[in-house]
Formats: sequence, C-alpha cells, structure tokens
Amino acid sequence: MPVPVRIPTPLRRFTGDRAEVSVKAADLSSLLERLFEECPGLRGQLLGEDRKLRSFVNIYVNDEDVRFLDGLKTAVKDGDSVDIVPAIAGGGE
Amino acid sequence: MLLSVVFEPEVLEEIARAAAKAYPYEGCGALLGEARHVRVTLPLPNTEKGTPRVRFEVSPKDYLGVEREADARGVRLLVFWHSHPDHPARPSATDRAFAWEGLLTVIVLVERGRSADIGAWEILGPESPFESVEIASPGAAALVTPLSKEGET
Repeated sequence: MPVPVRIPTPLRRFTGDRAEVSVKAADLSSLLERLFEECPGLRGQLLGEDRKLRSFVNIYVNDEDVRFLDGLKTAVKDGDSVDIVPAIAGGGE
Repeated sequence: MLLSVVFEPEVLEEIARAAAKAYPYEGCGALLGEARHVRVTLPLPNTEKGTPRVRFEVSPKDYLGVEREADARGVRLLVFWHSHPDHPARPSATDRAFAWEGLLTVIVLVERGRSADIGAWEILGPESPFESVEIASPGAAALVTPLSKEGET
C-alpha cells in the first residue's frame, strides 16, 4: 500500500499543485527516492548536497519529527502518513 | 517587475491589532486567500523561546494546522506575517534565510505598542533577494505606508 505524503503549499509547484503524493516504500529514504522520481524538483528542496535533510525542512511520520526517530532510516508502513513541513521563522535580528 | 497583493481591509486591521497586542514581542500569523488576494487571518503563537523580542517561530504543529485550515476552507496559504517591535518593517537576513518561494513575507512595524507600518516581500528564486510587493487595500490606507526601498536591512 502506498504511503501518503502531504506536500506543503510552497512545494506544490514541484508536484503539479498536488497537496498529496502517495508512494510505496519501506523507509523514509526510499520513500523520498520514489517521491523524487515522480517529482524531481523536490530533491533540492528537501536534501542538501550531503544528501541529508535540509535544516529548513522537517519531516513528520505520524506526527513525530523523524529527527527524533531514525532520521531518513525511519521505517514506514501501511497506514502511516508523512508530512513535509517547512521551517517558518525569522525576525528583526 | 511590479509585484502586488490585495488585502481585505479587515485583514489589515486584524494584523495591526494582533501585532500591537504581541508588543514588545514579535507577533505572527498566517494569511489565506486565493490568487494573491488575502481574505482570512489565522493568528499564531510565537513559539520562539529564546529571544521573542527579535525573533519569531511557527511550530511545525501550528504550520500543519494552517494547511489543514486552508484545505477545509477551500483557500490557499499565501503569507506568513510577523511584527518587528521598534524595528523597521523591512526583512532582516534571518527573514531572508527562512523565506520560501511561493509564500509572501509580511512585516509589521510596531512602534511603542502601536502598529505603524507594513511591508510585503517575496523571493522569486532560491538565491534571489527579497522583492518589495505592493499591498493594495482600498479603504484601509491608515496602516499601509508602502515602502519604496528594496533589499535587506
């Protein structure tokens, strides 16, 4: 069964304006590779040149930040949901 | 290129009120609408723990709530706004670092507790500087003092 990946508004221009893309995978790393095959423009938005998750991007599996799970090795299975969440911050200084 | 966005007058009033209420800390929120026309404000807590007088942060859970609310209302997330207490309504280097293409950045100057100026900004590419965006809002000119300068402070 494919795992639904929620795409945030600023990244939907890479998914043909789809808010959700479903892909089959056993862990987050392979899920992202399937996602990039379908939506190549997302790769540079989510991963740095070191192939690690960019610091301005958070990924949640079932409402848990993957940085507090197994990172890109976090397992995914039927019934899970994945959210890509851009970091929103800033300020006068 | 002249960029613009339309704000319903009550949206500007709500932002001005929320920004003043947050003083001396930075306030923040999301704005929803369609096709560069802002119709809905969603106030959000500033979850920055360290220096909320000069920084703001929207928690990931709040961000997801904004997206869900936009879907439920059949509108689109267009803007994140925040205030600069006693600091110009122009983007800082930190604002640029966190900017996302496709989302406008709106900044409100709150001067001694009163919302006094507002500016809208947008990046048109991952490495691009901020471009100034004109805010059009007939009947709500009191707060709107369009800025003529571009760039970062």
